[in-house]
Amino acid sequence: MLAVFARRWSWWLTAAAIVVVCPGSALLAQQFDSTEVLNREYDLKAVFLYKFGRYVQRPNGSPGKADEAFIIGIIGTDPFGKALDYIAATQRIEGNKIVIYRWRDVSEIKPCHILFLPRTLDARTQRAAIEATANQHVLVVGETPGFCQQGGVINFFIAENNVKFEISLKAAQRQQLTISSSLLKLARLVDQ
Amino acid sequence: MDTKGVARACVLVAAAVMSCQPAWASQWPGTQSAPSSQAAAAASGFAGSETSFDSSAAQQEPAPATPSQNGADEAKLRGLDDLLKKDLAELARTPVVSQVLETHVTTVNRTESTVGKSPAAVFVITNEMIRRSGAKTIPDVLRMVPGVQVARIDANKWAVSARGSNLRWSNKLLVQIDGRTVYTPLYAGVFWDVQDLVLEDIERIEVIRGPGAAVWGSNAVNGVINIITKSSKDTQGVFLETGVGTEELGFATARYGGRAGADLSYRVYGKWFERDAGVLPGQTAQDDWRQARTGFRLDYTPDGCNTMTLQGDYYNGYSGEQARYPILDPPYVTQLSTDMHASGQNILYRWTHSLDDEHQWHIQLYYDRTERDWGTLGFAEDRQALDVDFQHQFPLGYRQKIVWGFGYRLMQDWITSVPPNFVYDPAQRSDNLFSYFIQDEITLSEDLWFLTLGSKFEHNDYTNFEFQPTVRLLFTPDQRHSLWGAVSRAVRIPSRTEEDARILLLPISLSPAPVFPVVVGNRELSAIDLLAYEVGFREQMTERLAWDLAVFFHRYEKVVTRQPGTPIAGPGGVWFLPLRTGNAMDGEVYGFELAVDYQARPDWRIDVAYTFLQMALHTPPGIDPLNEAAEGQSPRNQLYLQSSWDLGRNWELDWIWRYVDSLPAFGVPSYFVMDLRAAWRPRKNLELAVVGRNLLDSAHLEFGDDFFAGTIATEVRRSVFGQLTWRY
Repeated sequence: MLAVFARRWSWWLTAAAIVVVCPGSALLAQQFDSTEVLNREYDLKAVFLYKFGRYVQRPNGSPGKADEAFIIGIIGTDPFGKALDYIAATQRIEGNKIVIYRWRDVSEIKPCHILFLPRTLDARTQRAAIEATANQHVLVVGETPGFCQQGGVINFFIAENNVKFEISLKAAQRQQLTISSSLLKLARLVDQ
Repeated sequence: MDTKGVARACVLVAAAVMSCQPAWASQWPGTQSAPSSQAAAAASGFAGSETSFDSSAAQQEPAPATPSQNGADEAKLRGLDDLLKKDLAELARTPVVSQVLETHVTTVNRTESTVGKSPAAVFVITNEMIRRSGAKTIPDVLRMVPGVQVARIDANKWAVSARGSNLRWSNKLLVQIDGRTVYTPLYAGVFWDVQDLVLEDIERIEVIRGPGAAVWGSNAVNGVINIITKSSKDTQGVFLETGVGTEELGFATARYGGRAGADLSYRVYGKWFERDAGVLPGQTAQDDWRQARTGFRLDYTPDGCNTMTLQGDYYNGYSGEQARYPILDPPYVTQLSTDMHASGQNILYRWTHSLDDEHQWHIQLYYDRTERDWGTLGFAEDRQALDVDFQHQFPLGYRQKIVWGFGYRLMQDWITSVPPNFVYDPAQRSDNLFSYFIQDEITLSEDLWFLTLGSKFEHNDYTNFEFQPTVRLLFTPDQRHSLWGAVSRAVRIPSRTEEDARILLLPISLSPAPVFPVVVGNRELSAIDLLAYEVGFREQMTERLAWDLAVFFHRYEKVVTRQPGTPIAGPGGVWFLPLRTGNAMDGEVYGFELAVDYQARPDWRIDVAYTFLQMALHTPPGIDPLNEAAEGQSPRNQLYLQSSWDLGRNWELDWIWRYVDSLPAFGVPSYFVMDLRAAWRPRKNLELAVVGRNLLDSAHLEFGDDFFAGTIATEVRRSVFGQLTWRY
């Protein structure tokens, strides 16, 4: 009895499989498309920010002792969700704990090691932030086209479904930052 | 617990305390406001981006900093843990929008590629999929692959094949572990009982259905299974696993990975298990088995260009079985049980040199030795293989990628067999295999049309020269779709048994006089020839739903047959019926395989695999049509469903349901199987899991008795085991 059922049932299944295969399934796709997107862009960028902390050296050796904090600052709206906080809670950069500061605008900026300028920030504020941190040994990271030309050190971009980044060696020099070769190897260099 | 652990535990506790709604009722943060990818792409105009996925979160509002952690969040943070483990180069390669089509594969072309860019029917089993399947053996892991037939014969024997022709012997499937072939020329198959690993250390298993012979050589006829273990860089620290159960009577695994300096990493492992026998109605089954193994792996990366790997394994174990055994005196058939002793060791060295992504060469050397002794059945085999393999890839102009290579393998065996049941003549044999291949991947149109041409050329001691060409065309209109087609030829060279053995089978009649068929080998055999036509289509329909369809038509020629001759009178009034081995049959196998991968929610994934297979063999007039019975040894329909669900950060609930059609050749009825796995992680490094397998019936048969060795098939019993895993 079960065998008979199984045989009929398997043919139903074949039919169902063919239905899935047929082009009509495109309708189904539209339905799915309107739903959420599984996007790891900011998870990846958050992990990169943390890795940048490890692959970029500052001239004064800051942060020095283990009780000092490695500070990552963000101006404007934080696009990372809980990712950066999670990294700060679970990781260390060369023995230093990580602290995340979020500032509304340039006037609030305090000394930090990495400054991230989200692409939602307007161009004027971005320029002002770059000027405000000039020669402060700050690794200024952005995600806006032309960011490195404005004086930013590292700029994220997306190509072929991967997060990539470009580095301005001139800007790094101005900030007296030494960027590890393994980071440079992966980067697109903007001013050579 | 270290400080990291404490911090993570705090995050966990905070999440648990503040969670104000059940995990299943939650939403991915920020999803309501996330625009569809097309809209975002249109709005952003982001420099350097070439895809439609580039900036789908461009206008996404940040997640509100409310403390309502939930299941979806947990899954996301776990994904973050995985990202944190990657190095810079790996991060730069990680797809932003997680896609099935972006899964890495190396088996198709012997170069780094992705599923979406592979003009072949390829399926990749990841480490996570292995863990969540609850499987404890490699054949059980392979059950999830569309187009692959897995049947347990008894507790320690499996028949595994791709696209039909499923037999314990001669199944035309090439299996490799880290580049070392484990296909045995003794009978053109795989001894699955000794192909074991620390499953945790497997990075992925790449399975290709259809011929892979143009790069991998003869015997990669119906498919290639390539098991790739993790680099020792990725298996640092202590891993302990132990458990008990009703069929898994006991098992324990210990692995330690460490570093010596910045360039050298290593791991060592030990593993042991004891498994219960299957079910033999009316009798006590004797196929219980036990095995211990140990091994190591060293990886040395002195600079960015060179990687050297040295790895080795040793195993020793006993596998029980019961067999019907022909004897020349009354009652002519006796039942024996035996504890087969198996042991083996192998060592492999590989040096990979890459100038950049496109220029690369590697050289690989390995030595492999296996011993098997069936004791009371009167058969023992001692085999060794020495293999050298070199390959080189480089671009030729802007549009062509060339891969070429050559290899040499020396195979030697020493067979002890007791007449009249088994006679191998000669008892000792050495065979040489020389091979070279060349493949050209031509970009016909940038990012759109790719043509792959290639062939393997071989010289072996069985059939002399063989060539196995392939033509493959790939069309990728965008990153979400790929369409491919291929025409390939592959051969399966005769096995040692098909050429040199005389095997006494069970009597086919006892009155008026007992008649024993005797399989007689044939040194004039030619290779089994396959011409395969395949087309496939893959679509990443949405970020969460992908499917992959392959349709194939395989045309076989010179399939092995056994042709009855004239009976010969033997001693004591018995008669022998010689069954001469030949290449008289041909046939077609056609079907399709569908895999669907649906990420229903960030914390809930559903996998579906459906296989349809039809086999037709044709014997010419004058050849015994019983040879066509092999048609009914592979299931026509197979369905596999798996649901993997994360309940919060600490719980995983997995459910597998499968259907396998009947095997008319053995009278094995169709069956349904359900497996369940529940795992709890009270701490980041500790996992407790309970796995129930084959829960729908008390026992069921998956395959028939073995025609050659007389092995009696046993039923698979319902089972439960508990497992404790600790990582540090």
